[in-house]
Amino acid sequence: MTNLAPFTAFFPASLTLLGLIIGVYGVAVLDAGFDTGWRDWGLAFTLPIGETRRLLRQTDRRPQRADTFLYQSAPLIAVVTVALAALVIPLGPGLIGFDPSIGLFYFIIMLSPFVIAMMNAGWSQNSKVGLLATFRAAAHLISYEVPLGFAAIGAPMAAQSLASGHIVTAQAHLWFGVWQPLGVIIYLISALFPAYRHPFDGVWAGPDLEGGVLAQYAGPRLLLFQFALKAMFLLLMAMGVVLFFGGWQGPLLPGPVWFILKTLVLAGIVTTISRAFPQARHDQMLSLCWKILVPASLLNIAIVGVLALYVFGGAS
Amino acid sequence: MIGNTNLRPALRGTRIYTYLAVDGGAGALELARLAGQQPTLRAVSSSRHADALLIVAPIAAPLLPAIKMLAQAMPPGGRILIFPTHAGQDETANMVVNALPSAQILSSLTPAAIAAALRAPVPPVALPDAPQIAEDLIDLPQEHEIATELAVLSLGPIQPFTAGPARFWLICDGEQVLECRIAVGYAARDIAGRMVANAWPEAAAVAAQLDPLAPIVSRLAFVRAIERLQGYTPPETTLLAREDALALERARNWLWWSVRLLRLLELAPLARQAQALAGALDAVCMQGVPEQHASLIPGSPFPAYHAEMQDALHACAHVAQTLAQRVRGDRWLRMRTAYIGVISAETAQKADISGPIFAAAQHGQGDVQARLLTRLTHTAAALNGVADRTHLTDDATTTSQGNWQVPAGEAHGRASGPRGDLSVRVVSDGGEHPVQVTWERPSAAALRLASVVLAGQKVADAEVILASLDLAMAEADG
Repeated sequence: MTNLAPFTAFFPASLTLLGLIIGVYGVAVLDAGFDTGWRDWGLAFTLPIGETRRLLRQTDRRPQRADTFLYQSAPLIAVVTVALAALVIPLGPGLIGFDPSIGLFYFIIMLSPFVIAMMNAGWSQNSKVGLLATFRAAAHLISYEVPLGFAAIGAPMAAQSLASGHIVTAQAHLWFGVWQPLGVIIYLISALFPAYRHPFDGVWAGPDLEGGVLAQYAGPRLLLFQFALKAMFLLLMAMGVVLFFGGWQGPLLPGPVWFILKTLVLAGIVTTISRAFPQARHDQMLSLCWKILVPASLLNIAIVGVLALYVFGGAS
Repeated sequence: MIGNTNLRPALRGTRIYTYLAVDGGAGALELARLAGQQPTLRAVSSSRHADALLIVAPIAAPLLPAIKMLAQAMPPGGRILIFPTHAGQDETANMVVNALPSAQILSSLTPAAIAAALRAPVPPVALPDAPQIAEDLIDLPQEHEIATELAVLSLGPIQPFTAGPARFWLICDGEQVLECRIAVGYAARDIAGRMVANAWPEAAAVAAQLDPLAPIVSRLAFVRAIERLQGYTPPETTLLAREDALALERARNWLWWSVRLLRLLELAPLARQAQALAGALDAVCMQGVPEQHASLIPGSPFPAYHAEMQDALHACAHVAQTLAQRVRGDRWLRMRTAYIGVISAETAQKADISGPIFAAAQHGQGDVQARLLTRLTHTAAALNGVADRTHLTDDATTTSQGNWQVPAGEAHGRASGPRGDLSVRVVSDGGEHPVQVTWERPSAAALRLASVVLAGQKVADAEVILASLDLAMAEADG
């Protein structure tokens, strides 16, 4: 008997990838709008297309004595990572590429190879700038994972499940974000780290390291990295919607539309607020993580545990 | 949602160009203005990603090898564009064109002119081979007892932290800067030597080139020295006009410097506000202020200011004050800039530092934030001062007296510029040209202090500290 599993999985996986590409374009429009101060809305929609064309035409050159395998594979690893992580994001009821019982756990685990890809990119360049940036990327890996995971665990505690679809349905009566505000704040701040978004973009942005881990990349490879960075931010916002803002649930409009709207609004709010801050210094970023976010996330777990047991009575 | 933007031509015409700016010393203000003007024209920090190398004259010979290396690193089809600033700089532009035959000369430093130059078909010309530059051998300090390998980060000579080229070696233990070594001379043009070789009027024109970002202050310092030798005191109206011109020049420099620093810190909202203010001040200066140089030339007329300028200057001063309050109240900006790069008043005094750096040390913490606040508040004060004085001059043209007959002797001239007090010692033998000219440059004094201030700082802070010193390398190199 023919095994149809690969074919039945192909359609939702393709849909996920297509959704990712469209979502990344949405994030790029958001960034372009903020870069231009929203002076020209049309420009915000066309600039990402222009940037894509420019990078596709640009010549990609490899630095001398670079580690060829790591240098060439890093952007591919980054893109594959975000594509795999996107599979567990439910766009609507039944609209999910891959729905394991440990969906959230799978998602958090899939963030790590992305950081490894960034570290490889910096290491493989065989330059001091890249090396310093690699150490910074490693600090990102060590720093964000704990508060992000601890903040995100509140939703599974309330839903009594790690499956992303079940977490959404458990919010049918009340969003988890309403009674887990501390978790929301910690999650959204921590989400900026693995996405290397401003103000925690010292690894690759800013003049002090002249591009950092991406200094030597150009052309299509740089485009892949930029795609992956924006996709990572989009996925983290999407998972935030799943964990705290009811996922696809909402009146009148279809589920996927609600999900996309919520994701873009959350991304817009986070981007707006983050732009008001200067670029964080490396040690300030670490201090924020270990001295504020980690203790706060532990406190959040305690609060959520008490509330989940005695107030909201666990999953509905 | 799109508003009244016509999308179709926008889609057709959206081609993004990138450029790497090479500032020879005169381009800081122009490049800061250019960077925020057009979203489809972007500055990048590496020539690998640049469609064009944008060179702003003057370019001294020591900088040519670095420019050639940058040109070699560009992707195929990359263009080299030179902006000569003004007529006196053509010789350096020609020098670059001779070294890089594919270079094009720009008529203006605007997005439209740059885009047009990039779109124009140019036959490909082979770039010369990259110069063989001897590796700079740096003697590293002895390693610490705990074995750590020290890294040497080379910044420059093309870097965005100073106005003009300079090279900094940061010897780092991880993220900590242990030592900073500086190489200068990339913008050296032997201004003093050229002044001595010219007659007095031409020497005054050369003096204005000492700091291309602040030509009035250097020229005025020289003219004051001449007037001291002549024993001549200009009339009150001339003195007021000179003070106003100096104040406006300082304000313009400080505002565009603020834009650069805020962009470096990636504070887009504040940077945009500062840029809007700087652009507004430029517009006011161009519309209302007469030939500022005219007040410095003995014997030439200059018209008075227009009354409409008064309101515009007051408005700019108010915005500058508001911006200073925003900076003061921004807690996150304070976290990023406070208590780094501290220069005490005593240290500044010993190092002959003057201007905003000294004022920040005297009245504030002497850190990066204090230097930013000082420049913004002084900008507001300068603009208010000019606005309050405009009513003192009437509409009649006023002629400044004086002449170019300079008796023998020695005299000093001083003028307060955007980076501090610029002074010059002039020796005359009564002839047609000066015998000796010696400049004391505030940027050179600040540069001597830079290596002391940077030691012990973090890498990310080192760049911000350098930028906060507002070093004009054309002035520092002389």
